[in-house]
Amino acid sequence: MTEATLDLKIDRKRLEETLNALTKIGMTGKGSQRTAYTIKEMRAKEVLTHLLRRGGLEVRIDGVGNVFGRTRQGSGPVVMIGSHVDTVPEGGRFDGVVGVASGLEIARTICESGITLRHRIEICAFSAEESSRFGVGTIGSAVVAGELSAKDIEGLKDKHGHRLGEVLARLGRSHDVINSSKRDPSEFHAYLELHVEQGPVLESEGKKIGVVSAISASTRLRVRFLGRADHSGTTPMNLRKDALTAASELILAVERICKNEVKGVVGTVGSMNVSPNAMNVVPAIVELGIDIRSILAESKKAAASLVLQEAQQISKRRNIELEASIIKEDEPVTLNEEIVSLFEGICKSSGAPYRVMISGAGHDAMKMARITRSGMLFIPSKRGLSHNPDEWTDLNDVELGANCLLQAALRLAT
Amino acid sequence: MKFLVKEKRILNSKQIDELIDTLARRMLRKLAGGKSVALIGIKTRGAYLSKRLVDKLSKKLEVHHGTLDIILYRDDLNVLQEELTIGESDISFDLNGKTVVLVDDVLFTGRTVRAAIDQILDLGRPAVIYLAVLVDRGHRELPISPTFCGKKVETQRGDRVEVKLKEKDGVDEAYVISP
Repeated sequence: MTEATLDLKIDRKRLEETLNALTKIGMTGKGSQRTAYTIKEMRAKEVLTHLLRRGGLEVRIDGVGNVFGRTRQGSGPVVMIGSHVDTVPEGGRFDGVVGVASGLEIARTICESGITLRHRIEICAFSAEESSRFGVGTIGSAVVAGELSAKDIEGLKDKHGHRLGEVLARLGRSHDVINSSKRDPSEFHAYLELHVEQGPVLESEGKKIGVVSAISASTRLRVRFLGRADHSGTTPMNLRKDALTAASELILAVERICKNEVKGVVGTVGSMNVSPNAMNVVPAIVELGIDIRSILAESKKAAASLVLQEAQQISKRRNIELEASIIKEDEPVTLNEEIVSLFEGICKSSGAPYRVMISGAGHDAMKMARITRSGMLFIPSKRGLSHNPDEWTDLNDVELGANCLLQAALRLAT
Repeated sequence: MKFLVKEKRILNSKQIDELIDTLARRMLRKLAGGKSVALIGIKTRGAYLSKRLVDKLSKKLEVHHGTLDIILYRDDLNVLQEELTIGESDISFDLNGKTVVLVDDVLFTGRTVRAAIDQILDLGRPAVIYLAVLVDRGHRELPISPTFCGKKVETQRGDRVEVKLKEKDGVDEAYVISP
């Protein structure tokens, strides 16, 4: 590395322009709404292809609509910098877009510097990173990593009953084309991603950069208590089969288990459906959606199994029927130690206040880590807010994060 | 019952050549001395037409060339029924501050041009957007008029106007087809 490359910095104004150009599409007051494979999301990708071409990159769209832009210089395996441009409904301005815009800016900065690249740099906007439309997230990166095939995704349905297979067929994507999007690990030298933290840790500690060492995964449980609907006035307390009081016990048990009994996990009962949900009827059926996350597969498994045991005990004690199942179980991912050290070194030498941390949320890096050594940087989210129109990250922090990623990309690609 | 379809040729190959020459001349007059001119053809036939115009103009004027696929910007788009594309528009230069000339073969309701303008404005902020068309067949549904027009043709609302170009159809011709 020469002095010149160490001094190389991204163009802040141009990065801001790129961010504005992408977030203009699907702007909702302060936030953004570009749900996967909707017109808004596709228009944002269309804008991105224009920006990539303007940046002198070779553009390609694969079978699931992932958008790629490669530098013309360099050869062999690529250093990929990726993230996504889709959002949750009523999402924020920074989630995903920051990583894609920074990637493009990094590629442009390097191309303009005249530095010789050994490896091509490839920018990527992965499709459907957010699970909000089809119930499954990181679809684009999972297909690239070979974890999902056309068959796995074609039947996924959104809340209107539209199948992902049909949506992709409209884009002219056949099974063969979708499956050809899988890429061989040998095509990659490394994968890097810059993302907003989406949590409060960096801000509360006054740090500017989070070097991600591992990405937690979730186990999702669906638990249904099947009690009996009775008149709320005429049924004595001891003769009821109240599904909601049973569910309430379990909700508190999830908190207890994840707080006190198993270390290193977080657990949330994020959804509850009560039937018939009437004030004068004893609740008959309650369905809970439980999300347990950890970077330790064993701890996550232990917590999930304690939750299921607890549900059985409640069901027995209260004589209420139980249906419980694990609907999703993902493996946590450890990110590449060398890249973590590389990031730490860059933060130290640039004086950026940083910490090594885990990611509680899933990201495309989690899928890419299965096929190539991967690294991820976080920048602070104001008040920890994300998936919210009030999501905010200071442009100074975006710039700092992009410059740290630029240095990492230079070290890996030259 | 059999319906008769009336097909009337309105332009032959020579006439199309002449119209493109005329359009190029008028454009040169208006754009000469101007910097940062970009011709953007609306796919499919507008793209070929714009290429021919660029070939003529570029001898005398520095001109960028791009193409636009407006499908994602149509006002009657049904995402679940239509064939969609991403990345088929090809504009590899900065649109900010440019003098953009949109090029299409036929101007009818004006809705395609509206879509193209909206798309252009999502991609950047040109100084000005002009419109060049080979044939204006009337029946506008939006307040849009061409800056450069090859030929005005009287048509009925239900007629179809078909321009054929060598690059796509093997021949240069235009027809009005009446049901």
